[in-house]
Amino acid sequence: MASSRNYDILIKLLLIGDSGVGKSCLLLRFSEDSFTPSFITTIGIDFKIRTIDLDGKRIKMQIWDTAGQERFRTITTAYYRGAMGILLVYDVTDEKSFNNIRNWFANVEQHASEGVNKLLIGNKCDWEEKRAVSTEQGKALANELGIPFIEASAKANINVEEAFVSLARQIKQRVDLASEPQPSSSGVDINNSKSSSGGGKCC
Amino acid sequence: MAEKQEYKQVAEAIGEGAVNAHKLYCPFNNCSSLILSPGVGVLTRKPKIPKESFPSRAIEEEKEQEEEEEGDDLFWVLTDPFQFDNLGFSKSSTTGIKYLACADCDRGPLGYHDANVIEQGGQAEYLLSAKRVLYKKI
Repeated sequence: MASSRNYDILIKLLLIGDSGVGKSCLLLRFSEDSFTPSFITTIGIDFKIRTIDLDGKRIKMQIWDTAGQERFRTITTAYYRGAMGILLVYDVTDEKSFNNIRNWFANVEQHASEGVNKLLIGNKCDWEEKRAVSTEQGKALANELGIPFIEASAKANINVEEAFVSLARQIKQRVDLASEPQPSSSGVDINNSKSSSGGGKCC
Repeated sequence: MAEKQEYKQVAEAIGEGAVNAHKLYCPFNNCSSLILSPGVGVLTRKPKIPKESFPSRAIEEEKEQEEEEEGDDLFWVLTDPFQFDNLGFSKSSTTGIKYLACADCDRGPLGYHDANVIEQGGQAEYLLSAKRVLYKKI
């Protein structure tokens, strides 16, 4: 087989939050403006692979949606296995989804591996007339939980890429800090050999 | 900068068993998503993309395929999803097929993964349709 390793860091990311907050949209609309139904939105997406360049390193991200498990409030340990970053998503037009972030955070603390990076996302921020959660409330909650915060809109393509890239950057910094990084069961893979192929388009 | 080309324009230079020498891109309008970097996929003849589980409405939006339903076709074969630069993977169909779609415009199918192959003792394969992607020399 041809070379299989053309990245420096492999990152598994999860989208978590109430049903209807737009997690799938964040995944489907990472960057391109294509809010049209397509076959994959009908079948549903399992995960996406994304390659970005950060500070000269080739980062591969695997981004997972919860696949509707959140409806049963039972995101299992299996789902969290190997996750290095978690995007906690609420809908700024839905206060309940915002209040539930604390529960999701507790769920993450309970099941995800220690040290996992988290990011709070207030989605649908383009929908000002329906807004029920202010930016300040979002910031305050993020401060309380000790995690970064960003407001985004999958529909208007605001801050979606930034959200994923900033989480990837945090994870990279954490991985870089580890004095002797090595492949582990958590799915982290470090490879120092540079890929000879050209840099991937960063979405 | 080299122009992107269709498979038929580059086919002569590529034989079965070859490793992809081009960058491979999403073929849909104005989508420039890079799917695969050079030196990763191996051109192999495999069964065509199964269509059985597509909702009819979804098919209409997809690129016309002027081919027979049955038979084999050429695919770039990969063994690991992480070998792709940017790509979406659908949930599994009832028959165990995962479809591959552009990670940027979400269109497709650009290929498939058949979980039954693994159950039958084979190695996992991710098949990217050679005729559906665009090619760019590096």
